Amino acid sequence: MKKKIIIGLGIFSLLFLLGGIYIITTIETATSKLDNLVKLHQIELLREHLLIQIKRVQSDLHLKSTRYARGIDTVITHVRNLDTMIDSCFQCHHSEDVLDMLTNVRLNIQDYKYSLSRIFTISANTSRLEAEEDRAFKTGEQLRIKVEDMIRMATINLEKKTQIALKNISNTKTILYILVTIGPFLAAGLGFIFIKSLTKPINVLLKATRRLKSGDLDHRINNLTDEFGEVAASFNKMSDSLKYSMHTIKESEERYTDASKAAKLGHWERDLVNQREFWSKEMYNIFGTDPNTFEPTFDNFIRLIHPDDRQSIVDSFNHSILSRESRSIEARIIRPDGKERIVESKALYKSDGNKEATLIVGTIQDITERKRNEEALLRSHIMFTTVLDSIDTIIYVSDIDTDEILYMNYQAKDVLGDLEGKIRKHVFQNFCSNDKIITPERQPRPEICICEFHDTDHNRWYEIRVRAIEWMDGRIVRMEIAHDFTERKKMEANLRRAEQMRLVGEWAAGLAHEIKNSLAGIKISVEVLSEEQGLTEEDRATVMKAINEIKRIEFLLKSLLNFARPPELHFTVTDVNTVLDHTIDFSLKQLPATSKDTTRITVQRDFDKNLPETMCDALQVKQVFMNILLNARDAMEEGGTLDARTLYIKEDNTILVEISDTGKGISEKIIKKIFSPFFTTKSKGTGLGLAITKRIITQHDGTVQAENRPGGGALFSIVIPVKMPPGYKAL
Amino acid sequence: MRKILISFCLCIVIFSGCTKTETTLSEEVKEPAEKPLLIGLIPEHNIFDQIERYEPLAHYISKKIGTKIKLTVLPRYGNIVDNFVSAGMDGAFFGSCSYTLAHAKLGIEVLARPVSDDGLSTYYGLIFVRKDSGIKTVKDVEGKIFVFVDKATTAGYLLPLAYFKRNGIKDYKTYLKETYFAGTHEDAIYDVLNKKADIGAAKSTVYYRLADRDPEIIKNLAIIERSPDVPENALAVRKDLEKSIKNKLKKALLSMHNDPDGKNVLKDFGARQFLETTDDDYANVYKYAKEIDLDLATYNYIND
Repeated sequence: MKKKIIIGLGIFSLLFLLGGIYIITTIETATSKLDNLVKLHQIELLREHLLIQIKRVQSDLHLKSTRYARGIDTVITHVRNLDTMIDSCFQCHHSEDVLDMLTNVRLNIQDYKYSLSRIFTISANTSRLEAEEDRAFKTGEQLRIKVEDMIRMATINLEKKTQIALKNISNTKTILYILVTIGPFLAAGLGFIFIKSLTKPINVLLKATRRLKSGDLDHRINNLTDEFGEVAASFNKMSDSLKYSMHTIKESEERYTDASKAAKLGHWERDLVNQREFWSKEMYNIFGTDPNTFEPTFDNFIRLIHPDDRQSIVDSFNHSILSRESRSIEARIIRPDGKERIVESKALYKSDGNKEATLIVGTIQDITERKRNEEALLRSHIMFTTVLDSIDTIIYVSDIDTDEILYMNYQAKDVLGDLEGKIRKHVFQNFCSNDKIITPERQPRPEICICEFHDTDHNRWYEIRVRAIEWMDGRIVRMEIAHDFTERKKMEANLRRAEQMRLVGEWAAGLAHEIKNSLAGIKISVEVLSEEQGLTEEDRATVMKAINEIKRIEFLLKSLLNFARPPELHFTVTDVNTVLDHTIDFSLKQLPATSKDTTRITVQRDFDKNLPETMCDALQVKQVFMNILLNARDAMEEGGTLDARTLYIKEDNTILVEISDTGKGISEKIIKKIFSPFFTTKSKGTGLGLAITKRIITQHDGTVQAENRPGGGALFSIVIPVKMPPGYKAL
Repeated sequence: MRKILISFCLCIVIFSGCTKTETTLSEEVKEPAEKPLLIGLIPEHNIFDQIERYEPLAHYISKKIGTKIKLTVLPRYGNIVDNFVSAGMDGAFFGSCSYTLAHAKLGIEVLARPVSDDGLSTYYGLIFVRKDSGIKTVKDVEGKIFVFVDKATTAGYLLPLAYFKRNGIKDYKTYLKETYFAGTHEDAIYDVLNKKADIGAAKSTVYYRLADRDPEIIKNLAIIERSPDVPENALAVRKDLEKSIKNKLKKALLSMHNDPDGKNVLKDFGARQFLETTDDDYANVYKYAKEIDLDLATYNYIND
């Protein structure tokens, strides 16, 4: 085609060039011929002028001696004109003959001039003068004839030349007319053929393109050659690939639809410039709307959002448009059928250049199931960690080879510190080595390795259970469970001690009983002895001393027996306030062991009037109060204040009795030992008072505690539960 | 397709419009209409050659002084004295004799005269015959035809008169067969050469100027008498001419050999420079006139 166009244009250009050249040359020739003619005519004119000028000079000559004679200046001008004219003849190009002729004429003119000058200047006799004048006239006549001949000759020539030139010009004119008439037709004809050869294949292509546009992908172009053939081939290829692409697109669209359906992923677009919205099919499925009736505008979309989430959605959309950041938003939607779903929206903002966002494309994914699964998973995770972290047992998991701690529960972290991710070998012990928990094939052994471990630094006892388990990632790991059983261990020791004490007590009671009987005999014997008259005062005093010591042993034995073999309790309904009140009065009337002045002790009673009666052994309770009160009295040797307070604690249904003094208080070193038997700070104490107190309260299912008051002095608190016999009603 | 056609047509239109002709207006510069200086010329050579010889000089001078100069040729030497006033001439190149006549009659004032290439500012008169005429002495002249130039020329008439007087010829008209006035020095020389006359008189400058062009003159003519030196043809102006113009003319002439253009004009004219000239330079002419008993004031200079 290119070749065709080039050839066509070449032919056109050549035709125009040739035509142009022909026209220009013919016009040039014609004009130059005309020019020549004009020049020839001018020459003709010049010659005529020359002739006229000669005639004029001749007439000047004729008139010279008459009264019409012209002035010498005029004659000179006329003659000089002759010179000028003949000189101008020589300016043109002439043939040799003409040049000779002209030279001849010029010589004649010179001769004529000479003769003329002579007759104007000479002064001589008439004959000489006339001879000169004749000569001048003759010369002038010769000149005239010569010029006339020349003119005649030239005229004939000129006529011939004129005719030839005119004929030539008329021929040229005819040819030009023909050219001018035929030229456009020829050009138009050629152009038509040329254009036809161009437009025909273009029409074929156009038609094919239109068919392609209308969706006919099977149309193919045939029978085109040249570049159009190439275009047609490309077109056919394009159709093929378009068809293939359409097929691929359809397939991928189907895949996309299936995938988005499976993923519950909808796709939407929002044209901010034209305010147009697009929803993919899955969008309607997610929102449970009918694509035929639902219009996917932003307002309609917002209406489907849960009212609580609407504002946050609008805010985040606006923020995203302004900041042009793509962000993911989770929101609840309420479908037209009332079902609530959770969706995740992602949006990408597109813009032309760097101006405002013009298009938002985004996805909406129904993540309800995932969300629910996540929540369930989270719940089970929380449950798991809550349970594990609530156990007061250390549980941790470590890599069997590297000893990296993989997991620790709260208790483990609390005791051992957070070691997760750190390498620790033999956290507690090295008894349960790897070979005890895994087989040589590195499989977990079914049996659990158990050992005890005593943390001597903290004096704690642990029961450690070790086993190999399969970890989340499939590897075999070591799991150690360390249970702190220190308290149980202590309890067991206490039990053993109590048992020993009981045995000792029984043994001591038996012994005391035996001693008591013997001592009763000794006492009676000594008393009898003391009443002997013959005794000196000194001996009597010694015997009395012995009796006192025997009494003291008796008391000691009685106490021992009382402690070792406590009396059986007799529960009666008792008012604790009354018992306490009587005991205070009685105990303060007792002579103090060391003090001489008891009046300085002030007693403050703060009894709860609503204190209920309870089932208790009043005598034993009195004993308890007595023991505490006597200690208080002893502590306040220099006097002080004794506070006695009772309180009914309704919530626990217990009675609280607090007795405090302002004495020296209890040393912190011994405060824990004061309830132990045989522990005393008094020189003559048995060390059994508070031990008995504690035992009595314990027998009443209560507790007794001793502490130092911040302001000085000791405080004893007794709590006993309120107990009533079945069917008993308070008065 | 249509576009291609349109652009093709456009190309044709554009190319065909490229033959534009330009026209220019020519303006003629008109010189101020001022009365030109009219300068007369005497017929030293034939009248056509004479005017051609002086035209470049006149053109140059007019350009220098800023006043147009018109030349006019007079067919007779004597005419210049008569016509000087009547023709309204402002000045003329006078021959030595015609100057003295015009000075005596009209009181004209001489300004300058040319110096020839040889350094001469003077000429002299010659009397010559053909070598083959056999004329050797004044006796041989008897009965012959004598050609003068003009009664108002030193060389062409005063010299022959002095020649006749010196040789004791009282009336040359009876002594000679015929005498006539050729009017120009050139014609006088050629008339003798062409045997129209047997003996002639002319001025030396013309004689040798023609001899340069025509070797026949030296070859065939013999000089038998010569006059004393007299000043070469000089420019003299009417005495009432504006002094400024007079000065300008004088200055232009006297300085033209210093100007390249002027130098060229001088060269074509056949002179080296112009020399300041006063009436005193004409002492020889006055003396000569006296010798031949010529009263310039009353002299009839019209040819018989």
